[in-house]
Amino acid sequence: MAISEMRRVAVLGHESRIGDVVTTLQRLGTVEVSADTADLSCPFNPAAGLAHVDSVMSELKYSIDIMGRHRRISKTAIESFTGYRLYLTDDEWTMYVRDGAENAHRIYAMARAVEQSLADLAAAEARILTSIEYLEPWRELRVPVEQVVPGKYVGLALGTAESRSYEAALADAAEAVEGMSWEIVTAEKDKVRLLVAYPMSAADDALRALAQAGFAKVSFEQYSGAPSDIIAQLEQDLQSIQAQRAQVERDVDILVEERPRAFALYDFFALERARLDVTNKFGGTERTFVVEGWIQQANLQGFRTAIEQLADDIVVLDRPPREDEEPPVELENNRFASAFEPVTKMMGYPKHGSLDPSPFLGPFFLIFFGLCMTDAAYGIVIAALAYWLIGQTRARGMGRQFLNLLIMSGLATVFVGAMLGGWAGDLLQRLFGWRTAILFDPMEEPTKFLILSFALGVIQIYTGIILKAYDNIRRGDWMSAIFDQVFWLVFLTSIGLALGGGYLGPSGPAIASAGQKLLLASAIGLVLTQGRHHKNPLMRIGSGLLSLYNTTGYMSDIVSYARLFGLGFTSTVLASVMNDLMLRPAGIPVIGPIIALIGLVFGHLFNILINIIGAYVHSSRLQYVEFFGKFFEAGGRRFMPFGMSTKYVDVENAKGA
Amino acid sequence: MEGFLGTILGFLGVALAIITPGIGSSVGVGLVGRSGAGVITEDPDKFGSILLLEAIPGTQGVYGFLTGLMIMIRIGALGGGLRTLTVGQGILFIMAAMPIAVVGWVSAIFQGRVAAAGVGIVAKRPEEMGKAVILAAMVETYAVLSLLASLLLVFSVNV
Repeated sequence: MAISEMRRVAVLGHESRIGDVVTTLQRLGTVEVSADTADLSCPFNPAAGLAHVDSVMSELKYSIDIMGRHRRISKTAIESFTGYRLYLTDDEWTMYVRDGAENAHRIYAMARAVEQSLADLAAAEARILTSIEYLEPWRELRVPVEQVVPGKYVGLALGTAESRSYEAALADAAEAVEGMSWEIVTAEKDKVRLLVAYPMSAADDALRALAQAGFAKVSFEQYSGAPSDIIAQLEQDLQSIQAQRAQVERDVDILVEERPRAFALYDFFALERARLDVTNKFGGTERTFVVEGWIQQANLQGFRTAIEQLADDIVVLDRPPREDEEPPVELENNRFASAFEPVTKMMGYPKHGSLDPSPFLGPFFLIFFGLCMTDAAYGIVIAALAYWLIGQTRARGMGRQFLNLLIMSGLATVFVGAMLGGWAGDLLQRLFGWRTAILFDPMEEPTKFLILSFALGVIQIYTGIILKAYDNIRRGDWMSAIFDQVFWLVFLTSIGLALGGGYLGPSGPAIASAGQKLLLASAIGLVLTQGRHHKNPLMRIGSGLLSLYNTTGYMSDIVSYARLFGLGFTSTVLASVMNDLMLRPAGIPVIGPIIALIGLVFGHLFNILINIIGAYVHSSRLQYVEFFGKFFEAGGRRFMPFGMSTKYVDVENAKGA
Repeated sequence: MEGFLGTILGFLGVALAIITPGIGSSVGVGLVGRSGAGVITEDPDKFGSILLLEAIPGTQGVYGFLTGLMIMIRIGALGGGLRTLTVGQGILFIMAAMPIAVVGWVSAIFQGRVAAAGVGIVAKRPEEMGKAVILAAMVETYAVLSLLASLLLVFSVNV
């Protein structure tokens, strides 16, 4: 129930065992390998192997990207939130990764071929479309274009001219050059396309005169045949490109069938890469190696057995952390408390040797979440949904812990909802007139709800202070526990008694006056002790006086718990409004109840949706700011064991490579 | 008209409570949505995280709506038995709506800015997404407090 106890392990052996040891380290995934072998240089240089693995991995990445671009992975709605994972059995995994490098190259070649063909086809298509666009305006020309050339006696040319001015300009040109004539191929609004004939004897004059008339020659050097025939041919080519494209699409289908193998191979090589990479952290001599790292005490025995089984000449040593070492932090809790680890981890890992807040924040988190939702029916929906998701997502580790947290939060919501009488809002009261509230009805007595929120805040803040006292005592710092925590607890309590004691029945005034005396005593205690780290006695008193100002901090902490009321009341009132609106059409014969039922289901689902985020976020926030602030020591380094971390594939009963 | 003025003011209170936090939430949610769309272009798998961030500045709109609803319930606008309010009562409802109308509006926009900045965290360090959520949630405190003040004031008006 706390921060895991860490041991420092070292494995020593002959250099020939290094492969087996690394594989076992990875398979067990229990040791964070860290280089602490300053006196031994690393004789293992995996650079050559890494370069090979990296090149194979980049080929696979390319292939996977190509597959993804042409055929999207069909994801379920859940996977589009959680990300896609491929689940393989041990046998499938072994089958896929056999002849890894060869298959990787083969898939890469297929992907390259597909890309190349598609690029070629696209380029050819673009060329054809450009030609068609170029020729289309000349479709009416009956003459094969290769014949429109300067001949022996007559020169021919095709070109364009301005619609508005060409007639006058060409008439002038024809006057200058005898025997020149022209014919319109097509005429458009601002441009005409012309076939011009001129005598070769005056070819230079004719061309100059034509240029002055605004005639721009158009070249058809790369074509032969009448434009309409060429276009027909090009259109046929286009169809053949479509056919070829369909063929390539079939190749894509064949390529995509290799996707699971590509995923598996990528992860296979990623694991190999990790194995090569980790040897950089090994130390050694010419013939031996040593690897050091951190391991959780609980995993040590299993690790020792697994490694020593490999060979007789491998030695496993272990020792507790030294004073000057800062071991990484992992949280270790029973099944109930481990569900709250994600809440702690979101804030950050506690410092080594401090308290793990997960088990302590648990009950508060659950009650807070329940109060923010305030509805038993909503709780059932949340718990059922989380339970269903566990089956659907096969989540492990943090994800699983989070879903467990959601189930428990749902059940807590059922409890709180039942206490405050929320069953899909006030639906039961509206339908059957049942008064469902066991404790009180927040709609009728909102002030009680608010007071409950503040009371929970006081309890949690006191718990936080007591935990800090416990932590101080654990470290043998009795003075701090008494001066910093017990004095404050007495001081805060006496403020409450002095202010509110008067309302506590007949003996109230006596309690209040006792509270006032206690308040004075504890205030003096705080003034005298809170500045004790100062040498100068004046500074001590001054600092002590100033510390009383912290009272405002505690007050604002408690006020912050009003959010429980805010969120819970929002959920309750919205639920009630949903019921009011959706039940109105229920009176319509036959279809009325159906409309009402559908409306109620959607209305309440909407209410759950908008409230669940706030419930989670604000229940967390109260832990982080108000609760953790009293005792939590952040700054732990997360324990990251060397293991089977994969990108695409999860192997059930993973045995590794 | 004279006897009706109080009720008109009551309606104004409802409108204020719902309109301004609604505007604020629209701006806030819109800010996060815009920057989130950029991340989703790069990595569609982050949709879930972005959606969660985007929802955060939406709560002020709900708080405003809730306050408006409570005023409606108090003046009998729900259920058909509309009460005639005095001018004083009408003004009291407007004043009661003020905390959430102003703080809900402003805090939703600022919360949207924090959440939009948090989109960067989701893009670069998705495992730290929870921290982005908590940063944005810190702004919400003041919206919750103003909701609380508004609700307590709405309850306190005698009708």
